[in-house]
Amino acid sequence: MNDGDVEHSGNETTATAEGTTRREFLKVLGVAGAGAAAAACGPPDTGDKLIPYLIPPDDIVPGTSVSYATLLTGAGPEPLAIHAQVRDGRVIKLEGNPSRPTGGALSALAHSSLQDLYDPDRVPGPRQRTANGLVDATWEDGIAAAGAAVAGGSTVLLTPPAVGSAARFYQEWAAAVGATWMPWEPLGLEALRTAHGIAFGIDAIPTYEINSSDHIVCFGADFLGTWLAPVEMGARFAAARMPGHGVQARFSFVGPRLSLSGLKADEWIPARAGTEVLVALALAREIASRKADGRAARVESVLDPFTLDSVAEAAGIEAEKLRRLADQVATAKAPIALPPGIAAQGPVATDMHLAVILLNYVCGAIGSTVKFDGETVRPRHVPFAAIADLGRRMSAGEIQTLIVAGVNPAYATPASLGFAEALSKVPNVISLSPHADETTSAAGWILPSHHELESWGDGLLSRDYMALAQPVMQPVFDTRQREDILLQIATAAGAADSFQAADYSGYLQGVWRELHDRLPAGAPGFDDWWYQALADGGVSLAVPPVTDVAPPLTAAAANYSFRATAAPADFSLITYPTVQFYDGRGANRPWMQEFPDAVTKAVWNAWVELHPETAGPLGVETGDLVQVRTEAGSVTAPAYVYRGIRPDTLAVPLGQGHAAYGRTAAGRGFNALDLLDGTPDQRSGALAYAGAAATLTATGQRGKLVIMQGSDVDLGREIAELINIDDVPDAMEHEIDLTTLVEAAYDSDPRSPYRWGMAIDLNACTGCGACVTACYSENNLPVVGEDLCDQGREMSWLQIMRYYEDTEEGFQAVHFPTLCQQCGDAPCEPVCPVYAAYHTPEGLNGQVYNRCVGTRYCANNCPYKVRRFNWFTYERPYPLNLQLNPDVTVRSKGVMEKCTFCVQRINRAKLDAKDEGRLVADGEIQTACMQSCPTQAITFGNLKDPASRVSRMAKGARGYRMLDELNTRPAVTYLKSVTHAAMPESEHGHGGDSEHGD
Amino acid sequence: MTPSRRLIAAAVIVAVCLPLALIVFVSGAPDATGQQAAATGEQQLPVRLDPIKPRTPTGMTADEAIAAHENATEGPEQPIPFNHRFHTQELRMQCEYCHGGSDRSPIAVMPALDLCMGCHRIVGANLEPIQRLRGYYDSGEPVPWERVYKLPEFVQFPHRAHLRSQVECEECHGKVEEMDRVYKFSSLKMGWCLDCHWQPGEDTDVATDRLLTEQFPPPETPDERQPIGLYPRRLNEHYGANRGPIDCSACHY
Repeated sequence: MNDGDVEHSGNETTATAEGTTRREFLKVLGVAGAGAAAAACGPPDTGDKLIPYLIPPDDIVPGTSVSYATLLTGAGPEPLAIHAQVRDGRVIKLEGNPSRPTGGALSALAHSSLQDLYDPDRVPGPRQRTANGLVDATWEDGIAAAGAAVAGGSTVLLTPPAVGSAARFYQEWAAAVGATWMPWEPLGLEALRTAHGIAFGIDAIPTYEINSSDHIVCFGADFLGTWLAPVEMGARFAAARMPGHGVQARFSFVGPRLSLSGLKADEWIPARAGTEVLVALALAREIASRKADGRAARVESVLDPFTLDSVAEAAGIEAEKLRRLADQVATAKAPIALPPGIAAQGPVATDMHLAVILLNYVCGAIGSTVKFDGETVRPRHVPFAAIADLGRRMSAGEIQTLIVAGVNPAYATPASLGFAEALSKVPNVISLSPHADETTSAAGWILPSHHELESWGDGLLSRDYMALAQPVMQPVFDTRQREDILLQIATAAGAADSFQAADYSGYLQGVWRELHDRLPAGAPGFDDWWYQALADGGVSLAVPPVTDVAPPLTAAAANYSFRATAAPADFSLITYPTVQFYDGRGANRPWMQEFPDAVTKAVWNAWVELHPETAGPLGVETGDLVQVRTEAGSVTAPAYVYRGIRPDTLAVPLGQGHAAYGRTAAGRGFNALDLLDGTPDQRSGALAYAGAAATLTATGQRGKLVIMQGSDVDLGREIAELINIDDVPDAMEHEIDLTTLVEAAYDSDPRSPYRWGMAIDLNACTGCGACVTACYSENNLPVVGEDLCDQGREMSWLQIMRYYEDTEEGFQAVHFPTLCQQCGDAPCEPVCPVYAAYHTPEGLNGQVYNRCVGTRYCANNCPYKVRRFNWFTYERPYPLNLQLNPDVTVRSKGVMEKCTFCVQRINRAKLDAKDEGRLVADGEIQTACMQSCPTQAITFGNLKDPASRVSRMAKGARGYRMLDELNTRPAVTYLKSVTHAAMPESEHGHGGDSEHGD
Repeated sequence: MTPSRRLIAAAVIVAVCLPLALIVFVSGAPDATGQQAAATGEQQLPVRLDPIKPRTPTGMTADEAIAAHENATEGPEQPIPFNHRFHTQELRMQCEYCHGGSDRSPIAVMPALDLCMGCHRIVGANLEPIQRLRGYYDSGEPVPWERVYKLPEFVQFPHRAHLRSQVECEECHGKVEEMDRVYKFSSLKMGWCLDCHWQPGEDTDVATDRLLTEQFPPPETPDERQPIGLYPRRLNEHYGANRGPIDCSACHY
């Protein structure tokens, strides 16, 4: 044998002074290796510390989460009562308060509030802007400077709309220091309020009870996504659309672009932008002429000019379509018309709202489905026109001090308004915002305030329920409660004498003491009552019931002269808020950037939507760069070719294009507001988000738009199923046999009483994405960034595929939540060489992270492509890592993962049940996605229990399984979506590519 | 290599590898048979997780206890020389007095400093370690104990399930009442866990669930519900022991 190193002959080796034979080398290596292994085998010191509490909090069992009830007001258009799950002093998950009507449901943006709290780009403490840039400062210096500035007079305080005690506080503060308080919301309800004021003479927002309706006509409000109350409306919508006994509410959408809400409509009336007001009036006229009752007579003259044919022509739609819609609404028992939202808010927004009010009026909806019952309470705020005026006064040097807290006018107003430049004309700009956004970048002093989850507060959720907000953890950074900072500033300005309390929590308690004083005798003492309110999340108020939910129409409305806008010559531009960014506040949250947009499925960017007939002649495909130019400005962005928009319309999303705000948001996409010239609706002062005239040019260059869905149609594979209401067979006659799922040999241990399964009702799913974000939050899912998303390496365990299904009326979308099907005969299990993917006795497809060696054969074999591989170890910069759930392993590079049906929740429930000597009850385990869904589209439970909700749904007539023919026996049953539209002739009811053969 | 060198090398290899082999194969669990010898006699008593064991004081003084901790050979030295033998044998304290909550929590509960100060506000004030302890408390800094038992991060281990199933503390942690310094008594390897969990024949977690429906139907009224913790004990009687799951996903998720 030859050793490499030394010359030798035969079998003798000669060791030289400096060389070593290979044999010796290997032996030494072996001994050293064994020695090292021996050293490692003994019980080593772990090198870790155990840090106990100093003084333990009462009633907290370490290792379990404590639920704190609090209130979220800044997570979208509706206030949400939540339970914050706190573990070891850190909030790790948000869930809806189960005692509220919406239960555990939340929106995607609400879940992402956690990433707002733990945003690494939050301002960590007081800062001062000097010639050398931003320097650390002390609270004392900052408050003293602010106090001196405020004492100088001519101060404006800009906040988000305030609810409850905060509203009272700001008013008192402004009066005490002689300032003006301007609460403002960019996506506000000015036009709605003004129109209802004109129509009924009251300042109130009605409750739109679409669940009681049998025909919903929506004039543009994205009520399932971003308008008024998406979580509540989701639940109402699901109730309305439940196809019981062949009855299901009809849903028609009027507008130039199908939003998230519009994609669920049975019929789309593609009215030109700005003409929705005419369509509403024409419908009202038609219905009034048929009903010919007192209400019709009252508004006959104001409706008279708006004939169906003339309006159809102005709106660019077929008169026959409009006539048919009028027929349907006229014969509906309880129709309801929903007003326009932001995307339709143009220069005549108030008129549009008023037209819809008149339509509801003649239909008899006021008082039946549109009720002024005080259940929908929203805080008041100044209109956009007031902010525009403020900008002008600032530019003119009339404002000495501007205190900005929690709003971002330098970003959220059109650039043509020049608010950013106006800021430089104000001598003292003090920002109380926790984020280093565009407005804060111009501030001389930054005194960052707490996040909502670290703050005290309260607010009316409805006229009879006052919710309470409490801090759920110690502040993450060196911040203070916003109202406390203001109180300290007032003290520094010498104006705090009128305040009774030393700090805001004392002030809040004072307000609640007043509330308590008004309770009837026999009520518990204040302390007990207060602690109970904190535990529950609020108190019910004893208020007399509203007797008159249908106020009379005013003469002003009956004699209103409606204005119409002329159609622009070229394109009409629409700007719309998205569920993930809203007005832009969600842009620095990684979960929201990685959330595929509900309509386009694009991530990490902004785009321009155009119709195929527009794109074709220009030679533009999705991803090509196009330039959109309006009078106010121009923007170059990737195009998205979309069937759901009129050919003469362009649509761009709001919320991107931040210049500052943080590492996730900065430089992404473009700010749609750069294209608006700041025209307000004259009557309400609301900003015209829609209707600007635009031109479109193809640049000929290719941009980058990452779309997370490969195909918009299911190519005849019967994945997303849409059936006509008349085809929903009677459930009793067509029950699906579940025995193949629960009794087949490998599906679960026959001796186990459990086989976990899920039922997803596609009819209820709106594609809002609350489930997706809840899953990210619960299961420590990493965010991978734009480039890796482009490579298909996203980590979402649950994805919502949006498939278009053609109908006789046009097309509709079926939102298809795709997750691990926990197959009974899973193709991924036999191919794992190390038994990391295996079948549990209860029917789950288990994944053992520490066994996985990263072959990726399981993902290769999965027909549903729901497995996700960790190509890298993804970083979570502090403090985002504080959000991690300790109950779920954090996976590192080289490990496969997928939906586990929240096995951590299953195991916890089984432990609890075993302690009590019983089995797990139906409904006791809620997966994170199921818990968060506003429409309750997802149901989880035990398929072996015939009485469980999931069994009943899985056996139901609409049930089917994805790619059933592969015999994987998935545990997830989907329920077909139902439409009123007639389906095309083909057998399975889906059109598109399947008609051309496979 | 010369024959003598070869011999030396071989001797070195054997001398190293043989003990190594012995360590690998012999270390592992103490025999965790889980036989619940004491279980049957205690049914009538209210649920106790840690039956009172006789403690035999040996007349050890506090100074001796501190010295014994500092001079102990096994286990990491703690920042405060806490001697378990002294507290349990001499002072006859129960495990759950300090580690209470372990039966309700998925994690084992380390006592808060507040608990120590319950006595040591007064007791042992002259001793230097006690003064250091009070220093920690007064300064608001928790004592950074050296961790002895740590499972990997990909294992989820519910402490409460084991206590509720009558697993004695000493089965996994050894005779802590005889330890001057806590040392790692068991290997904490998965094989060692399975020595107890894995019985040939059936997945006992599944069988337990089945048993719950057949043998112990849920009580009719809340009043008939037994105190929490009794059911696992009754299952223990039926089986000899409630072995717990062997399903991977019961611990790895």
